[in-house]
Amino acid sequence: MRRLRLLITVAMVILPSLVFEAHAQDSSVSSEYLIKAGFIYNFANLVQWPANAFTQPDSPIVIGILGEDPFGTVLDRVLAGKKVNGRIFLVKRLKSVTDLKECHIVFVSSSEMAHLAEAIHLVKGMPILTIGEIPGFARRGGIINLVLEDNKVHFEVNVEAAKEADLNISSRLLALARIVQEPAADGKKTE
Amino acid sequence: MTKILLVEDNEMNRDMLSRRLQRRGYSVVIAHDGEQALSLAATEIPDLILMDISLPVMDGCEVTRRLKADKKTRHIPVIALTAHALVTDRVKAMNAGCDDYDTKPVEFIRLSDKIHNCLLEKKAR
Amino acid sequence: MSLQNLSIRRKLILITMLTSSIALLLSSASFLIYDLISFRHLLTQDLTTQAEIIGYNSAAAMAFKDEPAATATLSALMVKGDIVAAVLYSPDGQMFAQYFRNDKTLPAFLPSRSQEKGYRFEGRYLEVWHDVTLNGERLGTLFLQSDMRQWSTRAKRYASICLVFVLISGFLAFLVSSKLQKVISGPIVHLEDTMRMVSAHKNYEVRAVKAYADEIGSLIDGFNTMLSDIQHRDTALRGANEELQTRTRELEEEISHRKQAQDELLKAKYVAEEASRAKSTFLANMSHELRTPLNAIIGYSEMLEEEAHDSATVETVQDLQKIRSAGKHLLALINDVLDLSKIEAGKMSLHLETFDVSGMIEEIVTTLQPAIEKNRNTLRVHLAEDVGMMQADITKVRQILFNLLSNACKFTDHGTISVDVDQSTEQGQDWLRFRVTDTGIGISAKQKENLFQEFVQADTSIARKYGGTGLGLAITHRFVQLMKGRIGVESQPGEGSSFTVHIPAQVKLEAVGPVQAEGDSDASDAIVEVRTGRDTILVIDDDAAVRELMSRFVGKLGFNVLTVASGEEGLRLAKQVRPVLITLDVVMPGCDGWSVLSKMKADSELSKIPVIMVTIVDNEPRGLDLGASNYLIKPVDRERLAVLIEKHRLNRFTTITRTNAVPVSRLSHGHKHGKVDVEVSGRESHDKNLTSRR
Repeated sequence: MRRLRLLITVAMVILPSLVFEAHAQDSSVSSEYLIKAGFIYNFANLVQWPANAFTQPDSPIVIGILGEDPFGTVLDRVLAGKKVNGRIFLVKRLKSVTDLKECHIVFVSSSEMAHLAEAIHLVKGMPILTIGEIPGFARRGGIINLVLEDNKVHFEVNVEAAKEADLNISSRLLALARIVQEPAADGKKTE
Repeated sequence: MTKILLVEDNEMNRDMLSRRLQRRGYSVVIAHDGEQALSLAATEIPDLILMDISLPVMDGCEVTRRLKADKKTRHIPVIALTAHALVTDRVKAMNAGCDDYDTKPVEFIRLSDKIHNCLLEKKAR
Repeated sequence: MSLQNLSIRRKLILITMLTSSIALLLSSASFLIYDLISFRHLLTQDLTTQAEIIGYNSAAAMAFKDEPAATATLSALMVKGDIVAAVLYSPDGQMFAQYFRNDKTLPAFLPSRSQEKGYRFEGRYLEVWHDVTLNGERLGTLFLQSDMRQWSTRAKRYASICLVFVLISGFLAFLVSSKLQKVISGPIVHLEDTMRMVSAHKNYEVRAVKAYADEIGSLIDGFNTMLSDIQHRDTALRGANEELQTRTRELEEEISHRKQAQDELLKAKYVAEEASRAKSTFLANMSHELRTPLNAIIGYSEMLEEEAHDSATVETVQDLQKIRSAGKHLLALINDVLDLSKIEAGKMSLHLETFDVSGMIEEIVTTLQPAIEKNRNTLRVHLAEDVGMMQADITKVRQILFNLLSNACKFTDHGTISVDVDQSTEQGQDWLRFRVTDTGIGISAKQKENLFQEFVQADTSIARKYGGTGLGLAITHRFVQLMKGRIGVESQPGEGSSFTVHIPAQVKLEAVGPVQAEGDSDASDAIVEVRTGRDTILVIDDDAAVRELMSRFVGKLGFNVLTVASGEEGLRLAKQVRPVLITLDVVMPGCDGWSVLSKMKADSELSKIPVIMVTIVDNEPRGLDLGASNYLIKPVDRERLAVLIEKHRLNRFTTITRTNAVPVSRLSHGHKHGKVDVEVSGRESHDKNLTSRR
């Protein structure tokens, strides 16, 4: 018995460190993205997709990462085993634009800054929650933009864009968000 | 002559008795009351005393008692003369020391007899 | 003031108010409690809901770990004044965001770690713990703490309302019950008033008014009935009282009448006694007064006769003889008259002594010699063998025989006179029989009728012829009667007469009644001898009942009892009667016992009489000091009194006979006949003298 206990203790000591290791490995990259991943999860909790967005009640929520995947394994790990309204997450790295249609959430990585307008245009009208981390993302039509400020992650929300996407964003989320408005056709900027 | 001391407070009785006694041949000495009687008895030493019991001041019994108490006069026979026939008077007189008694009113003959007897007795003693 | 002794009115009001107050208090209390409990429950729910809302609202902030946002959400709680603190804890239990009502320091009791979900009452705070979730995922825990101020406020408000309400309703209850209690207390108070009036004025005609037909009503009915009963009884009582008073008055009147009658009787008695005494004195005096000059007449004539024998003529002698014989006759008459008067007056008493019968006969015979020879009669005397002593009044017996014999001598000429004496026993009693027989002229039948009457001689001619007073037989007859004997006569005219006298061998005295003062022959200093021969005891007491009792008791002891009611009477009577003993009361009107005693002891005649004090006053030393022999306190111990009386009686015997040197043993018999014993000894000495003379 003593040996088993010893074994377990050792395991218990080691495991966290392994995790830590993993974390440590990701720490440089993922503390920000860990948070962001968490945010994404939270967004999923606080956004309502229209009924037609899902084929079946238990269809997973597909998250497509557009561009370079800054999360690494973080997002997967964070979303592993979690459900929102009974739906699991499916993380896809989008290779082509056509894949966008299958997603419910599209994360536009900063690498796609140049293609931003195109990307947004592509998903217009589709019930897709666009999340970016490019400055001005929300102004340019993206729904949620993650902003890193003072080592804290904030997010901007473009309510109009959400409306266009037929997405209902919980007021709770909006309460925490910075509301961004697209500039008017006349080019006035309002924030 | 035989001397008789007559002690009697009543005048008439005194008179009658003394005269009759004298006629009988006795010599009579008279006392009016008890005191006189005592002193006369002591001085005269009579042969007999006739004592009226009812005397004033000192009654006959008392006188008799004194007489009998006195050595000088003890021997003298005393005849009490009582006015009452009451027994108690007799008794009183006898208790006082009287040798004889007679009742009044005096029947002289009877009295004479008694005197005679007392004198005889005295002589006999 | 004890609550139990409050008036009915107050009690009723108090009861009403108390009950209604209690009811009110209880009901309001229950409502209050119920409400407050519900309210608390409500508050709890409210806070719980609040926690849910806050939790919901801060879920996002917790999810995004947006601390400012979370704090901001919490601070919205500012509006809810009752929330003291709100804390959001992250899943690891650390505080994430806080809110405090007033930005003071952390209350000490704020939990640092999250607790179980739910609500708790910690002290005066309500604490709610709520899990903050987002779509099922626990993001943290919300802690809300409320001071429940709404509840406290509410409770206080309710309490004050309740109080006010109670006071007001108490006041109203007081008003209402004040009015309503009259229904009960009114009749009671009325009853009480009526009762008071009745007992104050003793007016039993008043009735209480019945108001309702309830228990009080029946009480009033009962009360009224009682009053009419009392009224009736009162009237009856008054009537009875009056009757009683009337009766009492009547009785008192009767008593006073009786007392009066009694007093009058007593007075009459005293008057009679006085009269009697006066009579005795009169007789005694007359006796003396009459005899004295006569004795002088007789004596002097005798003397003169003697003297005349010697000197004077025969005629003188004869004259003197006539004087003497007239004098003697007069003397005889006077004696007889006085005797008869005494007998008539009831003052003739017996002086008993034991004497030798034959001696007496001899004397009589001797004395009568001349009378016998006068008529040339022959005397024959015959005494029976058994005739010895007799106890009687010798003087009287002598007189009787003298009378009979002298009659025989007078009325017989050349005849024989015989005297026969013998003794017989009849009915257990010894009798002595004396018979005097003569061969004289005899007595006719007609003469016999009036023989023993006074002043009736056979006829007046005989008186002249034969002399005599004519009273002899009457006196003889009376004497015989006095001694309870009997006398009889047999006679034939011309053949002679025979008189027979029976006399008891022991003549007895009998109690005749209260003592009469008596004098024999020459009286002035006579010692009174009681007719009955009993000794006398004088009782001096102002209480009639005591006199009565003493009289009876002492009488039974064998004494003659004289009773008087006052000291003065007692002294007077004592002098006259010379009782052998006096009982004396102290408390008397007029002369009290002490002074009577002193006077008695100061009086030479009375000082020797023993006095026994019989009184309620307890002062023995004084009594004895003043000379009383004994001192008894009322109520008297009869035994003691009897013993004392007996003691004194014995004393007297020894005193009288002491000088006679008679052995005491001689006195043992014949105890009852006091004087008789004495006479025995006296007689003996007298006998001695007689015999010596012979």
